[in-house]
Amino acid sequence: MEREKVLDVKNLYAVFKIQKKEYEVLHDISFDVHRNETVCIVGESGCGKSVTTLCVMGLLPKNGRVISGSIEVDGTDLTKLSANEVRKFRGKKMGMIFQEPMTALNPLLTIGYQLRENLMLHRLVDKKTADKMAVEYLTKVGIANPESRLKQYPFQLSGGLRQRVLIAMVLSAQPDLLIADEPTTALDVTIQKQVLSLLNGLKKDMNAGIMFITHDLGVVAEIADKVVVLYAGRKVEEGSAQQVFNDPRHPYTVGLMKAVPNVDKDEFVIEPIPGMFPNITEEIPGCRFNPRCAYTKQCPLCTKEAPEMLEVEPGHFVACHLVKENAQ
Amino acid sequence: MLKYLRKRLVMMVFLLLGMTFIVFASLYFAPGDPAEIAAGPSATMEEIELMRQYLGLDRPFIVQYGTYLWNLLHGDFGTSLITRQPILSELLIRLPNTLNLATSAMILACLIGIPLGIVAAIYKDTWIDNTLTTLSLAGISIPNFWLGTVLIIYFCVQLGWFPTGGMSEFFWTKTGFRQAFLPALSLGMQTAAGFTRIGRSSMLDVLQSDYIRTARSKGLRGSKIVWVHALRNALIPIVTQMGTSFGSLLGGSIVTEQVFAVNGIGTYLINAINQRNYNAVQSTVLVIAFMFLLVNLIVDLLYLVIDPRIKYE
Repeated sequence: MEREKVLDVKNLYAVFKIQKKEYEVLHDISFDVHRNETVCIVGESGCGKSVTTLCVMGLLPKNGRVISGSIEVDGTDLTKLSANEVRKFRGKKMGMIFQEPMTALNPLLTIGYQLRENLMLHRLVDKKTADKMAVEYLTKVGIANPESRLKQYPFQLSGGLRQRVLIAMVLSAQPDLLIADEPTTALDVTIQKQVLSLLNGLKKDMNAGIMFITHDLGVVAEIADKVVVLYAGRKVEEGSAQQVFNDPRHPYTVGLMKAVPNVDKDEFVIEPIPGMFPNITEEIPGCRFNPRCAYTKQCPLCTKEAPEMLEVEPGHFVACHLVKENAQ
Repeated sequence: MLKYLRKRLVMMVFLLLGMTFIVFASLYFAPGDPAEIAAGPSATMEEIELMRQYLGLDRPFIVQYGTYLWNLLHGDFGTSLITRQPILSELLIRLPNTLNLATSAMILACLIGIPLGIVAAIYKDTWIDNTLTTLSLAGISIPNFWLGTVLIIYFCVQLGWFPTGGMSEFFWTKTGFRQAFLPALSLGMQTAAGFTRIGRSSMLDVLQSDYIRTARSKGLRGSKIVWVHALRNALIPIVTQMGTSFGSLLGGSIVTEQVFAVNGIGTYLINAINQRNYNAVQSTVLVIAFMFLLVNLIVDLLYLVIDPRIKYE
């Protein structure tokens, strides 16, 4: 059965203007998220993960803009809408959870106010009903004594609790798409685990699609249905979680996997990827990964031509000359 | 809370004590002879000497200071060397005018300065922002006595919209408003410009914060984000500035009162200095210092209203 698509990003290009010059930050990014599916976007800092979420939310900073491509949420192309029309989609159709729970809530407003505001806006209920629903959602995300929490201010809550409040807030609007930008990075490991299982449970409950941004492959292994690997603003590999984890094809993905410490092995070695992540102002001809790739010397095409996406098995795509050569 | 208030009040007493010492000492060691002034221009050397003994100015510094403090404690601010009236009553007649002027200047500065700062932040890097930033720089640079003079020439003399000077009623009455408007404007201009600059930068900080991003991701309207989520947060540094600004308004009113012929404690202080009326200078400075401390205490208490994170133990 084909599940309904909640997000469909096609051939997205975005640029950032830095000192009057525009630099490409996203190059031909395509992926989709279905209902009840978690898609993890993986990559190093600066690879374009967060920019992708901001494009979808319509929250790009003033110096950034989408130049081409489409972003369809529930079948509507957001790139064709005015800023005000996109605003009406935000919160309602797509909700976002951010990385920093400590600072993501307004310090001067009560938890109750911040939840109520969202409910009154998106569920069109009055104040009293909103308060009742706020209690329900706080209970749903596993917060004890929800009534008393409503009167509290963010500074009275711990980081884990604040992240739960933020999740409750996003869910209370019943969005079809949940975007989570490294929601567990700032939390310690036990709380991280709790928040992940909470999200997993809620996904089934709400029948929403989740777009999950992270650089933590451990987290990916735990929650992902599908994985999209980005490198320097380009998609390098995409596939189901099993495909990418069991059979990573792109040298960059392979490198990422090797860089994760494995406590099961006898020798406890981390193999880092050599070199540095390129700055967006740097121009790299050919495959963007070629300066750091071990196979560049064997393959003259890598420094000349950007590789195309190749479907190596059903649903598993890789953009690498080497993989293409081996396949032929 | 009460404990905090008690602590602050005790601290205030010590600060005022320090103030009295500095003012007393600086006038004691300043050139000029109070006895000569008190005795009048036609007095002989003997008369001046008698006056010196009568005023107790022949006694050692520490005894004089002690007597001064002792009298202060009993509510006796001393007698004016010129008018022979109790200084306290002379000050109390003039104090309302000064407070009226400083308060209306503060209100005007808030009404003009804060909204402009917020508008500048919202329209950052547009012509609106550039114009406002330039204007605020001009506002900070214009001396208030010059502005006052220009306002008088244009609005009072040429257009006749306002009286050229004097102050008899509080600003919330009709006459009082007309009397206070121009002095308040010329006095409050620099403060307003300061508020614009601080308001702009603090609003910019807030607008870039994570919780504003959250508010935007909720799909709230721009106006709601500014009014509900950003403004109160942006006000915190402005309130801090208000406290110190009120002090400079009290100081600035000394000049503005001269320009607009307002009979306030500023005018009184200038006259007292010109006439070497030492007792009066001491007491006036003390009263100004006291008001400054009081306003700062009020500002600190105001934080409690704005920011739930602040609790005074």
